[in-house]
Amino acid sequence: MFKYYYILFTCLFTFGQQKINITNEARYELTFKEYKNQKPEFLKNTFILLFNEKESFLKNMSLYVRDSLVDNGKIKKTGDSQKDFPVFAKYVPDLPYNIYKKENTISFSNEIPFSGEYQYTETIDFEWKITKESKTINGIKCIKATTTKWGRNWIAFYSPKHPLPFGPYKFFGLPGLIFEVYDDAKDYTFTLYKFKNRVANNVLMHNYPKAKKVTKKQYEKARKVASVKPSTIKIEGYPNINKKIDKYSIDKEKNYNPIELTD
Amino acid sequence: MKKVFLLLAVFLFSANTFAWTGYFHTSCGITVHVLGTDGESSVVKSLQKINGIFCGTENVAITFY
Repeated sequence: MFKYYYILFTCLFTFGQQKINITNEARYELTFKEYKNQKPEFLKNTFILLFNEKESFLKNMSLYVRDSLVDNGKIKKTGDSQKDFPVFAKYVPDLPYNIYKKENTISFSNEIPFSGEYQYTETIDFEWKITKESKTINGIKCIKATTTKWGRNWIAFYSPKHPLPFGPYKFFGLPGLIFEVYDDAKDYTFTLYKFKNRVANNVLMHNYPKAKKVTKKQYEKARKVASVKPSTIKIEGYPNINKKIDKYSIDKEKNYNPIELTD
Repeated sequence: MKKVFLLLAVFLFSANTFAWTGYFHTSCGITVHVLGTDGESSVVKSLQKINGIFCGTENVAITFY
Protein backbone atom coordinates (compact mmCIF):
# COMPACT_ATOMS: atom_id res chain seq x y z
CA MET A 1 0.00 0.00 0.00
CA PHE A 2 2.81 2.34 0.95
CA LYS A 3 4.52 1.60 -2.38
CA TYR A 4 1.44 2.79 -4.32
CA TYR A 5 1.17 5.91 -2.22
CA TYR A 6 4.85 6.60 -2.86
CA ILE A 7 4.44 6.23 -6.67
CA LEU A 8 1.30 8.40 -6.66
CA PHE A 9 3.11 11.08 -4.65
CA THR A 10 6.00 11.09 -7.10
CA CYS A 11 3.73 11.24 -10.18
CA LEU A 12 1.55 14.02 -8.81
CA PHE A 13 4.54 16.06 -7.80
CA THR A 14 6.39 15.54 -11.05
CA PHE A 15 3.66 15.95 -13.62
CA GLY A 16 0.98 18.07 -11.96
CA GLN A 17 0.97 21.85 -11.96
CA GLN A 18 2.27 22.22 -8.48
CA LYS A 19 0.19 24.48 -6.27
CA ILE A 20 -0.27 24.70 -2.54
CA ASN A 21 -2.92 26.26 -0.32
CA ILE A 22 -1.13 28.02 2.49
CA THR A 23 -2.06 29.32 5.91
CA ASN A 24 1.35 30.42 7.14
CA GLU A 25 4.70 31.69 6.01
CA ALA A 26 8.06 31.52 7.77
CA ARG A 27 11.40 32.90 6.63
CA TYR A 28 14.76 31.51 7.63
CA GLU A 29 18.33 32.65 7.28
CA LEU A 30 20.91 29.93 6.75
CA THR A 31 24.52 30.55 7.72
CA PHE A 32 26.65 27.80 6.25
CA LYS A 33 30.09 26.50 5.47
CA GLU A 34 29.95 24.40 2.31
CA TYR A 35 33.74 24.04 2.22
CA LYS A 36 35.73 23.83 5.43
CA ASN A 37 38.28 26.37 4.19
CA GLN A 38 35.96 28.73 2.33
CA LYS A 39 36.47 32.48 2.38
CA PRO A 40 34.60 34.09 4.01
CA GLU A 41 34.13 31.41 6.63
CA PHE A 42 30.32 31.49 6.38
CA LEU A 43 27.90 32.22 3.55
CA LYS A 44 24.29 33.28 4.00
CA ASN A 45 21.16 32.34 2.06
CA THR A 46 17.53 32.99 2.99
CA PHE A 47 14.56 30.69 2.47
CA ILE A 48 10.79 30.99 2.52
CA LEU A 49 8.66 28.19 3.98
CA LEU A 50 5.02 28.15 2.89
CA PHE A 51 2.74 25.70 4.64
CA ASN A 52 -0.67 24.56 5.81
CA GLU A 53 -1.52 22.02 8.50
CA LYS A 54 -0.49 19.06 6.34
CA GLU A 55 2.17 20.09 3.84
CA SER A 56 4.99 22.55 3.34
CA PHE A 57 7.12 23.96 0.57
CA LEU A 58 10.54 25.56 0.96
CA LYS A 59 12.29 27.73 -1.61
CA ASN A 60 15.29 30.02 -1.74
CA MET A 61 14.14 33.65 -1.32
CA SER A 62 16.07 34.81 -4.39
CA LEU A 63 14.16 32.38 -6.59
CA TYR A 64 10.88 33.20 -4.85
CA VAL A 65 11.41 36.89 -5.63
CA ARG A 66 12.42 36.11 -9.24
CA ASP A 67 9.32 33.93 -9.77
CA SER A 68 7.05 36.59 -8.27
CA LEU A 69 8.49 39.21 -10.63
CA VAL A 70 8.00 36.89 -13.62
CA ASP A 71 4.40 36.09 -12.53
CA ASN A 72 3.61 39.79 -12.28
CA GLY A 73 5.18 40.57 -15.65
CA LYS A 74 7.91 42.77 -14.15
CA ILE A 75 10.70 40.76 -15.76
CA LYS A 76 10.60 38.49 -18.78
CA LYS A 77 13.00 36.26 -20.71
CA THR A 78 13.68 37.24 -24.31
CA GLY A 79 15.59 34.07 -25.25
CA ASP A 80 18.79 36.03 -25.90
CA SER A 81 21.38 35.25 -23.22
CA GLN A 82 23.23 38.53 -23.73
CA LYS A 83 20.06 40.44 -22.81
CA ASP A 84 18.61 38.03 -20.23
CA PHE A 85 21.72 37.51 -18.10
CA PRO A 86 21.98 41.08 -16.76
CA VAL A 87 18.37 40.74 -15.55
CA PHE A 88 18.17 37.14 -14.33
CA ALA A 89 21.71 36.46 -13.07
CA LYS A 90 21.16 38.56 -9.95
CA TYR A 91 18.60 36.01 -8.70
CA VAL A 92 20.95 32.98 -8.85
CA PRO A 93 21.44 31.76 -5.27
CA ASP A 94 24.08 29.46 -3.79
CA LEU A 95 21.48 26.88 -2.83
CA PRO A 96 18.61 26.79 -5.34
CA TYR A 97 16.85 23.68 -4.01
CA ASN A 98 13.10 23.28 -3.46
CA ILE A 99 11.68 20.95 -0.81
CA TYR A 100 8.07 19.79 -0.69
CA LYS A 101 6.98 17.85 2.41
CA LYS A 102 3.82 15.90 3.15
CA GLU A 103 3.76 13.70 6.23
CA ASN A 104 7.17 12.05 6.21
CA THR A 105 7.61 12.04 2.43
CA ILE A 106 9.88 14.61 0.87
CA SER A 107 10.33 15.66 -2.73
CA PHE A 108 13.66 17.37 -3.21
CA SER A 109 14.53 19.16 -6.45
CA ASN A 110 17.54 21.19 -7.42
CA GLU A 111 19.40 22.63 -10.36
CA ILE A 112 23.04 21.63 -10.62
CA PRO A 113 25.08 23.97 -12.82
CA PHE A 114 26.24 22.33 -16.05
CA SER A 115 24.46 19.15 -15.09
CA GLY A 116 20.74 19.87 -15.16
CA GLU A 117 17.67 19.70 -12.96
CA TYR A 118 17.20 16.75 -10.61
CA GLN A 119 14.39 15.48 -8.40
CA TYR A 120 14.26 12.66 -5.89
CA THR A 121 11.71 11.47 -3.36
CA GLU A 122 12.55 10.06 0.05
CA THR A 123 10.87 9.22 3.32
CA ILE A 124 12.41 10.55 6.50
CA ASP A 125 11.85 10.03 10.18
CA PHE A 126 13.51 12.11 12.85
CA GLU A 127 14.01 10.69 16.33
CA TRP A 128 13.81 13.85 18.36
CA LYS A 129 14.77 13.99 22.02
CA ILE A 130 12.93 16.84 23.69
CA THR A 131 14.79 18.39 26.64
CA LYS A 132 13.76 20.67 29.48
CA GLU A 133 16.08 23.43 28.31
CA SER A 134 14.71 26.54 26.66
CA LYS A 135 15.76 29.87 25.24
CA THR A 136 14.03 32.94 23.89
CA ILE A 137 14.27 33.57 20.15
CA ASN A 138 12.66 36.68 18.64
CA GLY A 139 10.75 37.15 21.92
CA ILE A 140 9.30 33.62 21.86
CA LYS A 141 10.19 30.96 24.41
CA CYS A 142 11.51 27.92 22.56
CA ILE A 143 12.21 24.38 23.77
CA LYS A 144 15.42 22.55 22.90
CA ALA A 145 15.33 19.20 21.09
CA THR A 146 18.14 17.11 19.64
CA THR A 147 18.53 14.49 16.96
CA THR A 148 21.19 12.79 14.86
CA LYS A 149 20.83 12.79 11.09
CA TRP A 150 23.04 12.71 7.98
CA GLY A 151 26.19 12.20 10.06
CA ARG A 152 25.62 15.30 12.18
CA ASN A 153 24.21 15.98 15.65
CA TRP A 154 21.47 18.59 15.42
CA ILE A 155 20.14 20.96 18.07
CA ALA A 156 16.75 22.53 17.41
CA PHE A 157 14.60 25.05 19.27
CA TYR A 158 10.87 24.94 18.60
CA SER A 159 7.96 27.07 19.77
CA PRO A 160 5.11 25.27 21.55
CA LYS A 161 3.03 28.42 20.93
CA HIS A 162 3.17 27.65 17.19
CA PRO A 163 1.91 24.04 17.08
CA LEU A 164 2.99 23.35 13.51
CA PRO A 165 5.41 20.45 12.94
CA PHE A 166 7.52 22.17 10.28
CA GLY A 167 10.94 23.69 9.94
CA PRO A 168 13.64 24.66 7.48
CA TYR A 169 15.37 22.31 5.05
CA LYS A 170 13.99 18.77 5.58
CA PHE A 171 13.43 19.16 9.32
CA PHE A 172 10.00 18.38 10.72
CA GLY A 173 8.22 16.37 13.39
CA LEU A 174 8.51 18.54 16.50
CA PRO A 175 5.37 19.65 18.38
CA GLY A 176 5.98 23.24 17.31
CA LEU A 177 7.51 25.32 14.53
CA ILE A 178 11.31 25.19 14.51
CA PHE A 179 12.76 28.64 15.22
CA GLU A 180 16.39 27.58 15.11
CA VAL A 181 18.31 24.45 14.17
CA TYR A 182 22.04 23.88 13.85
CA ASP A 183 24.57 21.07 13.88
CA ASP A 184 26.99 20.80 16.78
CA ALA A 185 29.92 21.90 14.57
CA LYS A 186 27.80 24.94 13.63
CA ASP A 187 28.54 24.39 9.94
CA TYR A 188 24.83 24.87 9.12
CA THR A 189 22.58 27.16 11.19
CA PHE A 190 19.00 27.97 10.24
CA THR A 191 17.34 30.82 12.15
CA LEU A 192 13.77 32.01 11.75
CA TYR A 193 13.59 35.76 11.18
CA LYS A 194 9.96 36.21 10.17
CA PHE A 195 6.69 34.38 10.76
CA LYS A 196 3.18 35.38 9.79
CA ASN A 197 -0.24 33.97 9.11
CA ARG A 198 -0.81 34.15 5.37
CA VAL A 199 -3.87 32.59 3.82
CA ALA A 200 -3.66 32.06 0.06
CA ASN A 201 -4.94 29.38 -2.29
CA ASN A 202 -3.27 27.83 -5.31
CA VAL A 203 0.15 29.36 -4.72
CA LEU A 204 2.36 28.20 -7.57
CA MET A 205 5.47 26.39 -6.41
CA HIS A 206 7.42 26.96 -9.64
CA ASN A 207 9.27 23.73 -9.23
CA TYR A 208 11.83 22.54 -11.73
CA PRO A 209 9.73 21.39 -14.71
CA LYS A 210 12.53 19.58 -16.53
CA ALA A 211 13.85 17.79 -13.45
CA LYS A 212 15.19 14.33 -14.10
CA LYS A 213 13.94 11.76 -11.58
CA VAL A 214 16.90 10.11 -9.90
CA THR A 215 17.80 8.37 -6.67
CA LYS A 216 19.20 10.41 -3.83
CA LYS A 217 22.54 8.70 -4.29
CA GLN A 218 22.69 9.70 -7.98
CA TYR A 219 21.79 13.26 -7.09
CA GLU A 220 24.44 13.53 -4.36
CA LYS A 221 27.06 12.17 -6.74
CA ALA A 222 26.17 14.71 -9.46
CA ARG A 223 26.18 17.54 -6.95
CA LYS A 224 29.58 16.60 -5.59
CA VAL A 225 31.10 16.41 -9.07
CA ALA A 226 29.71 19.86 -9.92
CA SER A 227 30.84 21.28 -6.57
CA VAL A 228 34.44 20.12 -6.57
CA LYS A 229 35.25 20.25 -10.27
CA PRO A 230 35.41 23.56 -12.10
CA SER A 231 32.94 24.12 -14.87
CA THR A 232 33.52 23.16 -18.45
CA ILE A 233 33.42 26.80 -19.49
CA LYS A 234 36.42 27.65 -21.68
CA ILE A 235 39.00 30.22 -20.65
CA GLU A 236 41.18 31.70 -23.37
CA GLY A 237 44.69 33.05 -23.05
CA TYR A 238 45.90 31.15 -19.99
CA PRO A 239 47.99 28.13 -21.11
CA ASN A 240 48.83 27.06 -17.54
CA ILE A 241 45.25 27.16 -16.37
CA ASN A 242 44.94 23.35 -16.17
CA LYS A 243 47.46 23.16 -13.31
CA LYS A 244 45.53 25.78 -11.37
CA ILE A 245 42.26 23.94 -12.03
CA ASP A 246 43.70 20.60 -10.82
CA LYS A 247 44.93 22.21 -7.60
CA TYR A 248 41.57 23.87 -7.11
CA SER A 249 39.73 20.54 -7.56
CA ILE A 250 41.90 18.66 -5.06
CA ASP A 251 41.43 21.42 -2.51
CA LYS A 252 37.65 21.54 -3.01
CA GLU A 253 37.27 17.77 -2.70
CA LYS A 254 39.32 17.71 0.52
CA ASN A 255 37.19 20.44 2.10
CA TYR A 256 33.74 19.52 0.72
CA ASN A 257 31.29 19.86 3.57
CA PRO A 258 27.66 19.31 2.47
CA ILE A 259 24.78 19.46 4.94
CA GLU A 260 24.23 15.71 4.54
CA LEU A 261 27.46 13.87 5.20
CA THR A 262 25.75 10.46 5.10
CA ASP A 263 22.37 9.08 3.89
CA MET B 1 17.31 14.52 -46.55
CA LYS B 2 18.58 17.99 -47.49
CA LYS B 3 15.65 19.52 -45.65
CA VAL B 4 16.52 17.65 -42.44
CA PHE B 5 20.13 18.77 -42.67
CA LEU B 6 19.10 22.40 -43.15
CA LEU B 7 16.84 22.33 -40.11
CA LEU B 8 19.62 20.83 -38.02
CA ALA B 9 22.07 23.47 -39.21
CA VAL B 10 19.67 26.27 -38.29
CA PHE B 11 19.15 24.74 -34.87
CA LEU B 12 22.87 24.49 -34.20
CA PHE B 13 23.39 28.04 -35.36
CA SER B 14 20.61 29.26 -33.09
CA ALA B 15 21.94 27.36 -30.10
CA ASN B 16 25.36 28.87 -30.71
CA THR B 17 23.92 32.36 -31.13
CA PHE B 18 22.16 32.23 -27.79
CA ALA B 19 25.18 30.98 -25.85
CA TRP B 20 26.75 33.58 -23.60
CA THR B 21 30.28 34.83 -24.16
CA GLY B 22 32.23 37.74 -22.79
CA TYR B 23 35.11 39.14 -20.79
CA PHE B 24 35.16 38.50 -17.07
CA HIS B 25 36.90 40.93 -14.76
CA THR B 26 37.84 39.00 -11.61
CA SER B 27 37.86 40.54 -8.14
CA CYS B 28 41.69 40.58 -8.16
CA GLY B 29 42.09 42.51 -11.39
CA ILE B 30 42.63 39.70 -13.91
CA THR B 31 40.50 39.74 -17.06
CA VAL B 32 39.70 36.46 -18.80
CA HIS B 33 37.86 35.74 -22.01
CA VAL B 34 35.23 33.10 -21.35
CA LEU B 35 33.34 31.20 -23.99
CA GLY B 36 29.93 30.63 -22.64
CA THR B 37 27.05 28.32 -22.29
CA ASP B 38 23.32 28.61 -21.80
CA GLY B 39 21.65 29.11 -18.45
CA GLU B 40 22.38 31.96 -16.07
CA SER B 41 22.85 29.59 -13.15
CA SER B 42 25.65 27.67 -14.88
CA VAL B 43 27.36 30.83 -16.06
CA VAL B 44 27.18 32.60 -12.69
CA LYS B 45 28.53 29.54 -10.86
CA SER B 46 31.28 29.13 -13.46
CA LEU B 47 32.39 32.72 -13.16
CA GLN B 48 32.41 32.42 -9.37
CA LYS B 49 34.58 29.31 -9.67
CA ILE B 50 36.92 31.08 -12.11
CA ASN B 51 37.20 33.87 -9.54
CA GLY B 52 38.01 31.19 -6.95
CA ILE B 53 40.75 29.72 -9.15
CA PHE B 54 42.41 33.08 -9.85
CA CYS B 55 41.67 35.05 -6.69
CA GLY B 56 40.93 32.50 -3.92
CA THR B 57 37.30 33.45 -3.23
CA GLU B 58 34.08 32.46 -4.93
CA ASN B 59 31.87 34.65 -2.81
CA VAL B 60 31.46 37.39 -5.39
CA ALA B 61 28.37 38.96 -6.89
CA ILE B 62 28.47 38.82 -10.69
CA THR B 63 27.29 41.88 -12.60
CA PHE B 64 26.61 41.59 -16.33
CA TYR B 65 26.74 44.63 -18.55
